[in-house]
Amino acid sequence: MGIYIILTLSLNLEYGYGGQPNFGQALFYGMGAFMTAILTSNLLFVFTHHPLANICTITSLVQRESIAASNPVATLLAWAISGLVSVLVGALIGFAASYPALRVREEWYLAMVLLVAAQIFTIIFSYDASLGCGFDGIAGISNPFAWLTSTSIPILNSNYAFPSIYAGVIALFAYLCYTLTERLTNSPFGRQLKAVRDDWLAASTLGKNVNAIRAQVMVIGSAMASLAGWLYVYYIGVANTADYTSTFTFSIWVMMILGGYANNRGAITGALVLTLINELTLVGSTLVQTYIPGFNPNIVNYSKYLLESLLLLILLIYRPKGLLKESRIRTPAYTVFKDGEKNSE
Amino acid sequence: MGRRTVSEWILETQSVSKSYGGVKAVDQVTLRVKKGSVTALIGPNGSGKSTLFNMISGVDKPDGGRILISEKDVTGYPLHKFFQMGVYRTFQNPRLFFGMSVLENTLLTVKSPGDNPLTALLPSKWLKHELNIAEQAKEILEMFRLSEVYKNGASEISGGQIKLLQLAMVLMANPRLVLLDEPIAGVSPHLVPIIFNALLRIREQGKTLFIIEHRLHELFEVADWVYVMGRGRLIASGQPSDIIKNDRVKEEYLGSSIV
Repeated sequence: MGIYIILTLSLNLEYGYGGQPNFGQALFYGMGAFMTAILTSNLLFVFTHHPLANICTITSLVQRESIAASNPVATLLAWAISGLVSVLVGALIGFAASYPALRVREEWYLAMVLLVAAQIFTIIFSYDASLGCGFDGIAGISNPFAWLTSTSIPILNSNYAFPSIYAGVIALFAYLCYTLTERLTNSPFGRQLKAVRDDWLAASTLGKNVNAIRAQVMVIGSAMASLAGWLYVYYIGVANTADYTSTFTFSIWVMMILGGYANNRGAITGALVLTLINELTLVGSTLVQTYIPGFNPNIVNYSKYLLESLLLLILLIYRPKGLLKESRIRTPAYTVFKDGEKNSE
Repeated sequence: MGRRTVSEWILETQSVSKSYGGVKAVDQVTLRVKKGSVTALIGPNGSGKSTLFNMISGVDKPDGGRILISEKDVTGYPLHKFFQMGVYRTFQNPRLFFGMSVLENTLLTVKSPGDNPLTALLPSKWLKHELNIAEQAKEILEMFRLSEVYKNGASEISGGQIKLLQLAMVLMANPRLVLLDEPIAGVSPHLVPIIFNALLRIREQGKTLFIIEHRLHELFEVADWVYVMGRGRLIASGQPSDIIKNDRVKEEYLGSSIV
């Protein structure tokens, strides 16, 4: 949930505010994820003085799981470092991606470039096993708090405590990302961003360095997406290309459009609504499987796609701008006018 | 118009040309605009006025020739540098930020310390500046009777108000050279004096105005000097009183068969 929120906030910053249609969200997200998995697998061995081995074998998988279950220092260190590096790499790729963005005046070409780049990424990582263990993905990335089970601290050593703690950490990061985007967008920078989105030429005639602004927003947005990838790998335990497809990118788009673009709260709302639909249909399908024998539970499970598209269609007809409308750039400038209104009353 | 001292001219174009698909939109135009003047650029539709403006403001790069602003050769500069050189340009079809409010549009013309994403995160770095420019914006918007609609989106105000907002933004930006592309075209008659008053006010602040406009009667009342273009070339220049009498100008405007 928190991960979806971060991804939607990131896309909203890039497209909702910046007008940069990122169809390659899965690329930045997946890069963060694979960077994390590769780094973690190696770092855990380095920190515990194990010789580096092929990270794809079952033996190394078992080894890193046992380290994560018993060695808090190595685990948390690997977790933190891989996070830091992922964010940096994400920012770097974002900067590289902004390069074609500066060359194409029609921003939808950028969308195509990024869509293709994301596609290439999944193909390479699926078929070249030397990079990310191919179709199997890099498994055995344990929850960074799994070692709590081996401690004698009551409650915290239960099997429920560590996933809850990590969920809390993800929520914390989602909150941080929300604060960050709120601050960024409700500032003169946010104003420029929207100006470039509305009319880059006019923004340029007002002395705004459009190329620099576009690069900045891509760097920030993709760093956030990579951050989400890092959090996700530690949550799900595996970096697998199947999770980073274009279909995934578009569900983030649906979340953003649903919630209302250029509104950070809208982005969160969209992420919440869509995740809710996903969860409800999943629960529904389990219930159907248990209580209605002979009925195909997949019908309920896959109905989420139907529901999503239906919701999107209804929204596009009745509220084309999303559930929440575009928010103004809220800077203290407005207070100057409000004071005047009060005085004149 | 003899060249007295170099520093008298804020803008010079030297044999500037631009073609579109073999059509010479602007052909070897050389002109100068005096600092602090109101200079008019007139000519029939399609005579290349807006194309010339595009090159002077950096929107288009000339195929040949040079453009000098305050004696500095700016030919080939990136677009945003022209603004930093003190050039402000309005468009014939107003190009505002229609997804944003009147106030936001106005504030956008001023460089802020919070334009940088890193400082944007620290409101203490830009808050004071923001409040200062907001005070200034309030004054200017009041002058143009726009302070009532400061919160409205630029797409929600009337066409006349859009023209006024454009001028408010000019004042706010505080440029040295203002290029106005048809500031009173399509404006209701009662707004015309307001706009011209604003133009004179802008001139009083020592700014140079270079104006494209078809409503010559109003324009010639304020213009110091007039350039006339026809079919991409400069065909006449002089004081408004001389231009009115010029046969060549009449011919370009009305067509040779009538004259």
